[in-house]
Amino acid sequence: MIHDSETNLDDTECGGADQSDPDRNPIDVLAEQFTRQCREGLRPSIEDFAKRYPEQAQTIRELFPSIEAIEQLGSHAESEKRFAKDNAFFDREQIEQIGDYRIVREVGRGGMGIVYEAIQQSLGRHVAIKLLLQRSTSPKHVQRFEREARTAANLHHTNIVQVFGVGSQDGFHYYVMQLIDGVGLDRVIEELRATRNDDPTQNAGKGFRNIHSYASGYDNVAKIGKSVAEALQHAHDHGTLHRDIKPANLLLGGEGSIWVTDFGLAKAMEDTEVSRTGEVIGTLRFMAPEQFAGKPDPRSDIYSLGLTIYELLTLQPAWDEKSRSHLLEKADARGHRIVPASKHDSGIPRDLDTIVMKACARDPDDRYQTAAALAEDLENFLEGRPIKARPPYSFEVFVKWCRRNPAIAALSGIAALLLTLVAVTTSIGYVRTNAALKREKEEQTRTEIARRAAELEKQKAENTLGISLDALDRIYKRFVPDQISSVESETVAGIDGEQLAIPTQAMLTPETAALLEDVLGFYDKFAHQDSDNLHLKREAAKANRRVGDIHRKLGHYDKSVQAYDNAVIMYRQMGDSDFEIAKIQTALGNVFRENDERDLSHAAFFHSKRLLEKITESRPESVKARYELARTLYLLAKRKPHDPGNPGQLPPPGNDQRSRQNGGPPPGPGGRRATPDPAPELIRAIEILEQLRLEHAGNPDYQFLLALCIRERDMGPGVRGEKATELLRDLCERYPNQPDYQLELAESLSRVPIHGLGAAETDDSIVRLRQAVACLKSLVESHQNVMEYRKTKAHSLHKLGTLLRMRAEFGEDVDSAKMDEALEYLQSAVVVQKELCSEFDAPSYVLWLSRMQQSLAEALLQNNDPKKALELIENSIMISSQLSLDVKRRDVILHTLITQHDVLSNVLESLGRNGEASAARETSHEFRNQLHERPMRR
Amino acid sequence: MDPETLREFELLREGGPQAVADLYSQYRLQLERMVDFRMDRRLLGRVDAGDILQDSYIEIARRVDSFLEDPAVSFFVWARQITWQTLMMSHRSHLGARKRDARQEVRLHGGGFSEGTSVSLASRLIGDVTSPSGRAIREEQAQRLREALDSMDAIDREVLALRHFEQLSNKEVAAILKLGKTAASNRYVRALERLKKIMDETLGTNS
Repeated sequence: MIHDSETNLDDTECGGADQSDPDRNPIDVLAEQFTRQCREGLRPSIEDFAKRYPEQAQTIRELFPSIEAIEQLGSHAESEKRFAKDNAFFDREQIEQIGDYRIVREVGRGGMGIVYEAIQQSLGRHVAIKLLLQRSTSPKHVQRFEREARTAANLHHTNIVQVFGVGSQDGFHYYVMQLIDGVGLDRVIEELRATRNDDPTQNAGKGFRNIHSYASGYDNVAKIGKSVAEALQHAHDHGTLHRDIKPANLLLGGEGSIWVTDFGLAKAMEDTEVSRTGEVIGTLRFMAPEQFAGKPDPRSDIYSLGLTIYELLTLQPAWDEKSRSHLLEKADARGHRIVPASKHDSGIPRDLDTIVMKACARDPDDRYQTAAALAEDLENFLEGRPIKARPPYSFEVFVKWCRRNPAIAALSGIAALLLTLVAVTTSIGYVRTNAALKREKEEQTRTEIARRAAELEKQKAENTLGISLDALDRIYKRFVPDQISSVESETVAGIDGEQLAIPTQAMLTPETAALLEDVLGFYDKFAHQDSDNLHLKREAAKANRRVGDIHRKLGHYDKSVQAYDNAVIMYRQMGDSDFEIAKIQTALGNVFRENDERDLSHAAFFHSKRLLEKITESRPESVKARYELARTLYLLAKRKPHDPGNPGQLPPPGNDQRSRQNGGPPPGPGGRRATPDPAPELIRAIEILEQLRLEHAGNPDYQFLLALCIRERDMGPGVRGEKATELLRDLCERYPNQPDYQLELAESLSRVPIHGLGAAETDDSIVRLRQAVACLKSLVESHQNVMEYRKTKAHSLHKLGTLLRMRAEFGEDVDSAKMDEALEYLQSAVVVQKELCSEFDAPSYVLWLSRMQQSLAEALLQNNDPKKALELIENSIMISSQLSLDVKRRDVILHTLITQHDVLSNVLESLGRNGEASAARETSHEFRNQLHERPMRR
Repeated sequence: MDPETLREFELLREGGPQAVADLYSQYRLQLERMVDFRMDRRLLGRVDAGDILQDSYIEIARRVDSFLEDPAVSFFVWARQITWQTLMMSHRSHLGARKRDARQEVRLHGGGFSEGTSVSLASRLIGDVTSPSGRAIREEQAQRLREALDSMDAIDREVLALRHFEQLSNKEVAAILKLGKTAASNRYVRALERLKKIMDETLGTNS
């Protein structure tokens, strides 16, 4: 053997030898010495080398660790060789028979094992046998393998390759499966990729082509995805995860049918040496992030399916070169996103893109929660229906939104759209120019001319931006009006007549939410701009406030608070912005209140109040500040919502939120509770507003807020709040097109007493409720999309129906006309509420639907129709039981279940089914006990 | 040609088949290393390195006379060439025939020469790990490393493989790749630099 450097290597220790070979790079010579010593097991020290050759020290320290790494690694991993040997065994031994199965031919060979076509001799049927190249006799492993195989064998679905059984021979395990005449989607993708750029006519004749046509085209891909999702749901329903969904495990048949194969195999093979061989490398990229942490759940399969659909759509892996590091940089979870499929192929329908992206969201909570939901959305896509996944805001969404909101669209319309686009575009231009300017500053190389040009550009950008910001603000205000009367959570009666609040969350139509998210993105970008232009600084602070507003609308509590805080900090830095800060504090107070943080809410309102008092003292002429002060006082004084007309029995002492004031007025008639003294804040607010009204007669804002204050002051059991109603009625006559006024009028009208009334009082309440319902009907007609109107309408209908039902019983005989009317209203209430539920999947809505159905059932029972009543009450119980008993709603739901089982029991009794009736009574008691187990009432 | 090479030619011309066998056995270890390193991973075990060496030895013995008529390279470089051709033919017969089988689950990694080198390199650089999640990450690393190695200049990559996995000298590398000795030496140092960069980037060894 001839080593030209052998002489050098022999005298490695004498240094200087490296200079003797003029043909070679000195580093190479040293590297060879080093390598040689490594191979001889001398464990040479890199630092010694560096010291011995100071001229090369730097390079030695840099490069030699790699050499050490290469040399340290042994030859082939032992397990790889062992696996290969087993693999070879089957290659050489030409298997002819495995148990009852006669091998016909080898169909394929993969990382896990070999697939044969075989004939089961006892049955004479053709099957596929997957022989696993994992020789193991450990009982634990064999057990797990058989358990997984049995679970897989229990799955019967048109899209799942049926597992017939398992067995083992000579320590090798095998699956016996349905024989599928199909091709793995990985192969299909490969071929599609190869033929994508070819002339399609050339390929027309190829046999492969046929099968491929089933996997290309957006609809076909969606169909495949839907079938697989359905198969997954079936498996998940049976408690089986696939754990290794990837193109290679989906077989496409000649008729376009798709089969999922290898169910449970991943689990069975876990931790075995087989799974470490090379084949696995390629499939890791389909695994959900949480699977690496060893916590797979059904949503992990959804993720893998999402990536598979992605690859089928784009013919590219979802992870591009850079983001491949997603596994290695788990900590930086938010850093890496999959590029939307439509970026690869602009022809991909947006809805399909949205569905796929949702399926493979990084956070399991952001994905479809069940495979069925994914299947359903794919079905929606295929049928051309709107999908449920929320897309990022786009032009398309805006157009859709406009189409469905003709009333509001007419106001904002195309102008709004254009302005939004202008605003977004100019903001991008601004950000870019700004960044460019900064870079130049850093480089310190710009010429004076360039600087001036850049400054000029910036000036221009800033000016345009100012205009766009104004425009955007106007649009924004249409969507996020600064409502005084935020609609509060409602209450329902508990078993003892006490009022229980149902926590509600912000409800927006998906389209509005998407629009807001986009506007949010714009504001957010802007809010982080750092400018020395004072005007823009102000705008940035304002943008932060807007971000807070939008997050609040979207129900993002923390983010909203954070943005508001940022805004406050920015305003503080600028100084002279107490008024703005006060307004933000008020907004913060509302956020806290909506999230049941009563103390924080109170503190925020209080802070705002102090600031505003300071302003109004120093500048009494500031009308805006006085109005804002009144508004804050009103919010500060506003109490927990309740049904003013339902005295029922007195709730347990200490639970009454309303009796916090001592020495209230004497009890009203009919055993009603006392109205507490109005809060002093309220009285002051009213004073301020009365004064403002005197100074600016006819200003609707002051009158409106005044009406709300008076309503709040007069609110109490049995008080009809005539004065507030009159003020609102006047506003509605003067401004018939202002929906806020109409809503509040309807709200005031429907705040009537219900229980414990005489005939005349009941009639009076009915008259007012009829007015409220009429008012809401017209509101809903002109603003179909505002769910608040529809919600209030449902509640008014419900109340009216309930009152009419009670009124019908007043005389000796049942007033059948009133009864019919009652049934009609209750029916409509249920219909409206059902629609709401179908659009907004909110627990509070669902709970109300259940309560309304219960009322209808009670009315039907009263009207001698127990059969229908039974159907309804059973349905309502089913709805209530499906609601999760989360901490916030636990009590309300328990109370509901108790009363509903009582009604059920009554209904069953009147049907003569006494046994069932007492069973229902029993259930009611059980719930009652649960209620006492963990008293959560506040 | 250096004197050692010429001496080998002399031996072969005079010693007949026995001399071929003797000289061959001197290089057998290196040739086996080459086969082990370059054999497609799916053939490991199914095809024995010994089989390849045996087949290639028969070929060497058959063609040695015509080689000696006008030798352009040393005996070792020539023998390695023949062994490599034998290996490639074996690849083709075992893997190539299946290429058209649509149902085959195995993904064929192109099977190209240079891609094969990066696969083998990557698998060696990654080494052994035992824990499942560690393994998953290692496998991901291997994949990334392979891709990074793919992006390397093919000749640089070969230089690295020849020097470290086949354990050849600079002179042999130069002869096999038909480069000048200086060029081969510089290539090697450059390849080391690239490798260091790649390992830093893909394995985070610098952090």
